[in-house]
Amino acid sequence: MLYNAHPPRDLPVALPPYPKPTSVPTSVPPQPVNTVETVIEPVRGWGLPDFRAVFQSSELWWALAWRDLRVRYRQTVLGLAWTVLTPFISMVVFSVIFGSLLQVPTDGHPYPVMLFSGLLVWRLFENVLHAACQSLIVNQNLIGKLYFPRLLLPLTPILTFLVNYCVGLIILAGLMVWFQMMPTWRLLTLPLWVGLAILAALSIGLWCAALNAIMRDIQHAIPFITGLMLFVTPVMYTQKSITARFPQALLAVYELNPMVAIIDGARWAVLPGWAPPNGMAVVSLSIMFVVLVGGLVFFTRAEQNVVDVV
Amino acid sequence: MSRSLPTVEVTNLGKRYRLGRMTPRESLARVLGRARTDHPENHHWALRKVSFTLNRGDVLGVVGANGAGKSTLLKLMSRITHPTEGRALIRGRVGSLLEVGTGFHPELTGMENVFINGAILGMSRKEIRSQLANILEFAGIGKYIDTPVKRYSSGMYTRLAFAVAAHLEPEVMIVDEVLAVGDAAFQKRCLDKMHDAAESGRTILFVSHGAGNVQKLCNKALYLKDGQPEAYGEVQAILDRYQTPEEDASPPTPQVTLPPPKLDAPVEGLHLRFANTHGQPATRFALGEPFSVELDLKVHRTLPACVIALGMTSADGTPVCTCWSPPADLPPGQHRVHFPIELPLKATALQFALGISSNDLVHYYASELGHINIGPNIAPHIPALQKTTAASGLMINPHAAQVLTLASNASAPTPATSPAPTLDASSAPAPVSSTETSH
Repeated sequence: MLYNAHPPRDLPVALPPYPKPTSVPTSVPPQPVNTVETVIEPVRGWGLPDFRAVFQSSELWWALAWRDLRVRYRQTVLGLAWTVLTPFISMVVFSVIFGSLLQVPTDGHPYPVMLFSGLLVWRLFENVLHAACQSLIVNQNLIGKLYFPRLLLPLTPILTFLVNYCVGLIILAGLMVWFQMMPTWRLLTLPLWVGLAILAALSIGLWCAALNAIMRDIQHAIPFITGLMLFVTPVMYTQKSITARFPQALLAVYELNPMVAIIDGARWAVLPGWAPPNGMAVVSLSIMFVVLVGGLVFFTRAEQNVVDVV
Repeated sequence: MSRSLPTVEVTNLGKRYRLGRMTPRESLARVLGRARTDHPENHHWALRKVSFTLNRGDVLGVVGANGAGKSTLLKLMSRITHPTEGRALIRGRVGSLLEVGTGFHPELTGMENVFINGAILGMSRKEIRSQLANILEFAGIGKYIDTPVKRYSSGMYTRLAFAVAAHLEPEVMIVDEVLAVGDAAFQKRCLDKMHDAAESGRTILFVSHGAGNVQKLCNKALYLKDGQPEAYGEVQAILDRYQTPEEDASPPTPQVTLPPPKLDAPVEGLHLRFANTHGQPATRFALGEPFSVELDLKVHRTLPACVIALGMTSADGTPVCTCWSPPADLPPGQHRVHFPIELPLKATALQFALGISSNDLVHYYASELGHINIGPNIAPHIPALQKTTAASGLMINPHAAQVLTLASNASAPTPATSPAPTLDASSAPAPVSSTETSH
């Protein structure tokens, strides 16, 4: 027979087609001792987010936030000028209507400065809230393809709008020079009020972000709600000008809005002679912090399921 | 030493999805953990009871048809979604690559995207900066690096995206079939890169439809079917099983009726028959066993210089061999063509293609006809080919290699006249150079 020329023995017929890694080559450095261990398990219960993991992803936060910032005004003619233009024009319009025509009382301060110091903080709050609310939807693709602490997503808009805020401060400084106002040491507390405004936005934003992934109703409701909220927050008028005509009980409810205290605080920091926020600030800010912690817990719970429900 | 600990340990991993559309109310209930009202018939286990262990340098290839649970496994391992049951433990930094260019923004330049994508994949700015030159070289984008990526061709885009991912240096890599992009040369570079990564001690989980890449890269394989592990272990054995068509899908029959010809064709094929050397119809042949294929055809008009060709392909479509009849003038009427076939094929399923032409003009063509199985039993005249299922390649060499001892270092002096060639395979690993393939 043709194939019977040799009585073959049991020789290894199979040869690997490609040099395969069978053992660890000696050149490889030994495994680091403090290896990260990742455990993949079914959804765990309720709890606060893993702040350590969030903190360790700070580089990613920077990358995402920086991306948002870079992309925001790409392929626009005016570019960064937009961040100056929009608040400036609204400032002019509001000043004409409320300051000159309606003569809104301002406690002796020039209306444009009073308005703008509050408007900037309000816009920061509003923009961070809207962006946080949309953050999981906008980054759906990222969520579906990569793991990272999802909490980074509602936090990324902060950078963009903080930059906007700082650009706005330049206009405010210009206005103060124009009206010959000199800020006091209290200007140093401004970052505190700005930080509180961001936390206020997140306290609602985290709930909204998680809920919006499930039901898109939220993203329609939120702009409407913040639009209404603008009128129950002393942005275009001063709180003092309405207290006289307000029943005391209703005023307490009005002051539960944390933005009342925050805007008051921001004005106190900027405007010489402005009264500091009153005692209700402690109450409203405490409630805000409770809502914020609740938002963190709810968001952490929801993020574990978000890929499957979004 | 920590080397002894496996890098990846997966035990009984499973993921259950709910079928149908979920209302927001149900989604909310699910998020709140109150989804108790679900009906079990609405449940679908996308993946269940998957267990495996990988050590450093292991490359696991996951194969399976669409919907077998491969993507679900990847998503679970890269922590995108949570399992319903089971547990997995990964020791070391994980880099997952389920898509090239995740997070790429069309408005940003190539350079900007490199940094953002790198951060998204888990590299620090410092790491990216130190690798930047390599990344740009690998991508070969050149002067376009400062152009927004929306102006890139799709090839440039994927090259840049893969270049970033390729320079990721995690201990455990989870890779989807992102290799199926770019031209052949770029694919080869990607494969080489992954191979290097495995070589340097990384653990890779690689999901693929193509058996070829799995065979080249992996040292372990997992075959998923309908969400369940069908087989797990040595690559070649798993791939053979993956590529063998289901027996019950289309049972092999010794006679195949051929499809009808084109309208007004001068010739048509009728039947294809498979038979062993004794002329008995058969569909399974031993390794090395000769068999024959018979073709019945009907000629309607005279065919001058007619050539009848029979092609054979393996189950995954790789062409194996073609047989021709010598050119001859065929008068109208019925004809029978006999193809004797004797090939040293390894265990495989064979399919057939048939072409009838006259003066180089094809009048009848049909492919993916029937199938027969070769092996795994061995024809009596080839006694020693025990390991043919593990052999790579389509053929087996039925001849054993010979080892000649040219100089021996053993204490006993080698006689000047060496005896017959040593064929003792139990002695030190013999250099089987005659069967070695060079690459």
